[in-house]
Amino acid sequence: MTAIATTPTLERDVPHLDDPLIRYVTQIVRDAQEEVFEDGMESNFSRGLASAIQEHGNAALTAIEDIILNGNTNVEVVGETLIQLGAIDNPGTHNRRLTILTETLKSEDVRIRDAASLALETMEDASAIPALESALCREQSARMQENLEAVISQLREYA
Amino acid sequence: MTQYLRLVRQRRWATFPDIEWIAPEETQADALLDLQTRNNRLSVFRVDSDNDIQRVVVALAASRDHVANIDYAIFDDDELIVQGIDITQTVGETPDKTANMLHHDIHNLTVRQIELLARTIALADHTRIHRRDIQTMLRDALQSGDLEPDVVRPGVLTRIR
Repeated sequence: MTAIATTPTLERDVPHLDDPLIRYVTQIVRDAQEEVFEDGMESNFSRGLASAIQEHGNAALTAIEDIILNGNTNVEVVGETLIQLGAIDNPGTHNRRLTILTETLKSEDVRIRDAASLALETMEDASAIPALESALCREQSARMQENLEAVISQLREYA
Repeated sequence: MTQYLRLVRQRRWATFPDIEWIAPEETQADALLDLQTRNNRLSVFRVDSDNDIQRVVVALAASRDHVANIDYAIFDDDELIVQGIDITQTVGETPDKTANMLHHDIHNLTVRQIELLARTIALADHTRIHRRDIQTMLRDALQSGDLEPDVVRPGVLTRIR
């Protein structure tokens, strides 16, 4: 597991730019530009994200939202971030990750919507179904409609 | 005509109109991330039947760190042969010996041939098998003996047991 250089416990939920956590997330995103991601395979980036979330919980998610999801990060890294948000085993951040992923289903980019739907499938939480059904109603891409239907169908088995 | 399977990430192959900035019949440059060569080689599996496809998919799933969806493309070799692309059988490195016998390398690849391959795969049939179905397929393969538990990655084995 990648160690975070300075890892104070953050009590607030909005990190500052000079925060070690912000610097850490910024650095792993920078390094991630050089990685090629594969489904089902760990990467330095996935280990780095997991480390940040395990240590800092929701504060890490705030940093991830600010730096990766709301920034100018490339789509490959954004997609991989969403996949990892779905995969990480961290019950304390489950609801927040679920919210981030369901909100990301509204992205204008089909590649990001696809990654968000796969991440929700991995979370195995049927409470995501209404958001996925809304996404399906909005969806214009035929392939993405198929993918969303499949994810909804799979999640119904966890209901 | 022979058909081959290549593991891809489906969203890298999204085209117009799903991707608005791209011209019709063009392919995203990020699709090349699915065609990264090693020593000018690219790994594919020859698949002559649905059984072959299933066997290869399970073998690839068992090779991963975690259970996840599998996206793949099935393409014909017709145009590739015309263009002189060389596809040779080599033993694969998955946990399934039978699937490994279906493994081939496309070798001595040039940049021009990679472009042709990208165009071929862009027009190919793309399929996604979702995570829960992958779990079921892996479980069935373990029960039938197609897969030996000791060669499956721990992260996968834990999930399906």
